[in-house]
Amino acid sequence: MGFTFGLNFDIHLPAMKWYLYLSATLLLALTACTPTPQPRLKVLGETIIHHETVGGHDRYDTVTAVIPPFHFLDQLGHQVDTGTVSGKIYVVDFFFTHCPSICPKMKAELHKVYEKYGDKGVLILSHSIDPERDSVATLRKYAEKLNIDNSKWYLLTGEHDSLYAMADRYLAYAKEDKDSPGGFVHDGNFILVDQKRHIRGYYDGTTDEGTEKLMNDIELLLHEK
Amino acid sequence: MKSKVLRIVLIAVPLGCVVFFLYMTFFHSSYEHPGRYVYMDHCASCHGEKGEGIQQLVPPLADADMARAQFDSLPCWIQSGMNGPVVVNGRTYDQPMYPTTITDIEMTNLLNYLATEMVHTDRHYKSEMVEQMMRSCRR
Repeated sequence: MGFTFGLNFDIHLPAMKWYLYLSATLLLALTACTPTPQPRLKVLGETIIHHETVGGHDRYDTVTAVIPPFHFLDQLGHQVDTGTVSGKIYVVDFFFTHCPSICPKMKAELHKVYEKYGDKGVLILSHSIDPERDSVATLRKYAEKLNIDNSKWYLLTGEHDSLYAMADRYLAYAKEDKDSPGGFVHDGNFILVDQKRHIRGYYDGTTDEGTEKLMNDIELLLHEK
Repeated sequence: MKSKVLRIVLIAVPLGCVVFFLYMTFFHSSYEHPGRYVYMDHCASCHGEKGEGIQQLVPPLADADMARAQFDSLPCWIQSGMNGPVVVNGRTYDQPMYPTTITDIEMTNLLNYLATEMVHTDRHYKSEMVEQMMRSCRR
């Protein structure tokens, strides 16, 4: 024909076949034997260095940061405290019901997390930073509009100062600001906390990607150890 | 044998190019309605990127009967905000809608975007009309 291709596959095919079988078997054997190393989420927050003197010797111990005890009221007026989240993975965010900017989007994103992990024991704690307006009754109405289970997703209110102090402990940014839309500023982060109240991750709650990352990390935490 | 392969290649490659070209033109177009940008900046946070709304907190805009029936009221609602309960597609929503500051041109693009791609109505606006509509609701 005067036109030839550089390769003739017919010749090489039988030899290739054996090679393929061999490598496929090897690959299968390898994946079956070596456990894939699970990435472990770091514990975030400031570590405390504990110092004591034993028998004239200085001893230092690093203690990982833990979310301190707290107690707030949820949308039913029930107390939600350290006991509620004991041994549970939970997601934290800060919001206020009159928020005209990022909060609705954050709630829509959190709803995805709630739908996927609410039944797997993961709790959500949304703290209001406007307790003057966000009474238990207001939060209850808001919860009804969000169609959420009151025992899986808590909308929290309480003392103004303890809510803002809590934001500090979660390393979240929340401030009153008359020049901002709605009168408050806060970051749009979701915070992932593990069963021992260690912070394990921060996620942009205003984007689909941030939520995807959060759900990916929840999966890791659920299978940890 | 080889002429057969060659023939297949000679037919398949141009055909593939045509299919690829058509696909890129019709299904992978980077064209976006200018109103889409306004929507994403000012509306999507609550009403959702596809106008789906949020549960029973924020009403949807996609195929919303209320927006379709009262489309001419949209400029004033967007500009001045809304309060009190509304019924959209048979469900009641009661969350304040906050005022938004956008220019007449942005509003025109937004309305035309909503009309053609979200609410689905045959309305079409020019900026002079919208300017007048917006002035009529300024207090």
